Amino acid sequence: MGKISFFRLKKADKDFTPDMLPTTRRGVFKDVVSLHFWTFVKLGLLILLLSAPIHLLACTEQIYVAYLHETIGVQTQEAAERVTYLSVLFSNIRAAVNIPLLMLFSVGFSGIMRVIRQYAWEENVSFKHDFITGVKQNFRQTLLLSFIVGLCAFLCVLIANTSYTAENAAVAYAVYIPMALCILCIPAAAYMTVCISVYGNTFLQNLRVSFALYSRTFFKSLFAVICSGALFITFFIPNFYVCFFGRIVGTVAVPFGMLGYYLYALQQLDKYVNVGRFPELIGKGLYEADKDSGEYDW
Amino acid sequence: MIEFDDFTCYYKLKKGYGVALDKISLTVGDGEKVAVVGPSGSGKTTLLKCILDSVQYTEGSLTIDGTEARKYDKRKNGLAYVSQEYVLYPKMTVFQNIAYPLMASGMSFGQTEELVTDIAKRFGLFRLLTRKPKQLSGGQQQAVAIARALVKKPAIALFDEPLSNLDPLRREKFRKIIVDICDKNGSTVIYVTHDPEEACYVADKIVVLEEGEIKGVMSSKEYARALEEYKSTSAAAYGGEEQGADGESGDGED
Repeated sequence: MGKISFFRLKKADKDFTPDMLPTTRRGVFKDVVSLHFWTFVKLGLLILLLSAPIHLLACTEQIYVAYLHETIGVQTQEAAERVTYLSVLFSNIRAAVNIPLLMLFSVGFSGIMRVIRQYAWEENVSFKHDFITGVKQNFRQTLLLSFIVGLCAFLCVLIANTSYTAENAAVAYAVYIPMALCILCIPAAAYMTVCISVYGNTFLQNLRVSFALYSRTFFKSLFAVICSGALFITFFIPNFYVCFFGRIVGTVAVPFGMLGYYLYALQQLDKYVNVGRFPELIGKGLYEADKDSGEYDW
Repeated sequence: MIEFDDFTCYYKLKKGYGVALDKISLTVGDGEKVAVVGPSGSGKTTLLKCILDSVQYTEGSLTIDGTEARKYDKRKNGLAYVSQEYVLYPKMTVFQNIAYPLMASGMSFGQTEELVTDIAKRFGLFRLLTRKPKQLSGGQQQAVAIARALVKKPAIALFDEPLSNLDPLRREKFRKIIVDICDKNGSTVIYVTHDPEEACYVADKIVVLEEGEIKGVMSSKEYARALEEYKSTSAAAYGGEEQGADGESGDGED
């Protein structure tokens, strides 16, 4: 054993018994992150790869705007207007190009959601099998969802840019429309991603469930989405290098946020949806001693 | 069928070679279960390692199904080995550890999951499938190693004291499971153990090894009878000395 002692397998002092399995969603989060931390980092790198075109486009816009300021400058009214016009144009084009890029990203995202689901349900995971199955089963709905989200994002950017450049004060207030849209739609879209991977419903059924659930858990859902995507705040920092670094770190950390959000969503689905329609899904992934026969235990 | 014919195995010393197995001849038929017993250092583990072709210096013939052991494709033909010093993949879950040989052979995930779940239930590992080896006790880790060996329904199963880390109750339970699974699969079994009771339970035939030589080959019933006789003879001899020749109690010295 001496020559392989470096690789000696660690072992626990006592038997692992089923009552040591997590019994709450929070417990599942801690359990999964502690056991599979590096797997989630790899998932984050995969997400970074899939979303690379979107990030590159965003970085290109920042570089382009900086280039405009350097070359044209904003010293004169005419120059400032020209810079604004070109920046806004690029921003609108970027938002439009992001729609197909987001759709492309969503195909891989549907596979990743299935993998996250398996971890959230404390089920056996085979990354290759679960990723491919997730893509096969859910890519249509995630494609449609990403198209809608991309289109909404494009409209938001268009409205925001228009209100920003408008001379009419009334039009300037239109900037609140995208903000309202974001608050109304983003949490519902987040619920959609979970419903798509959990239920075998149609797109409209999932949409209905998501909005119904969001309406009953408005503030909690908004808070959950903000917490899950907290690292995205770095995207809005004007310094290019901080923003670039933040993009990479934030994207790699996405699976952790996704897991946390997924577990929160499962809790809400258990409370409002599964209790009436899918009782077999209630508490899935949590160990319940009173339901355990003990037949297959150590 | 596994056949040793005048087979000798050497191990390298600082100067020269030592003999681990000395001209042994043994045949293990298809589906037969053979236990190998003997004192420590008698060559039991070496016998298994010869079948696995992980020893260098040998003489004589060792064939598996008519093919030289060195040329026998162990992976393709299904040969499982469980040792006391089991090795599990620490970064994989219990499920992934057990499923590994099936997935590596190209089996579909659905089928793999079914087989793994089935064997995990038998070994009491069902609820531990999402755990990692470091969370399990030594006995549980050993159960995972045994389950991994048997999940692929091997044609030949080699066991080197596989239940040594388990408490007596579990040893008895797992012994039964191993025998059941091997019987169902029709596996040829060579089982190395220090426990004579275990040897008699598991095997149809017992091979007694001592100092690299086969001292005896007998059925498990004959071996059990011989053990009983040995125990009663030892008990009688011990009791006789305590009493003294004239029946008076003594210190046994005279």
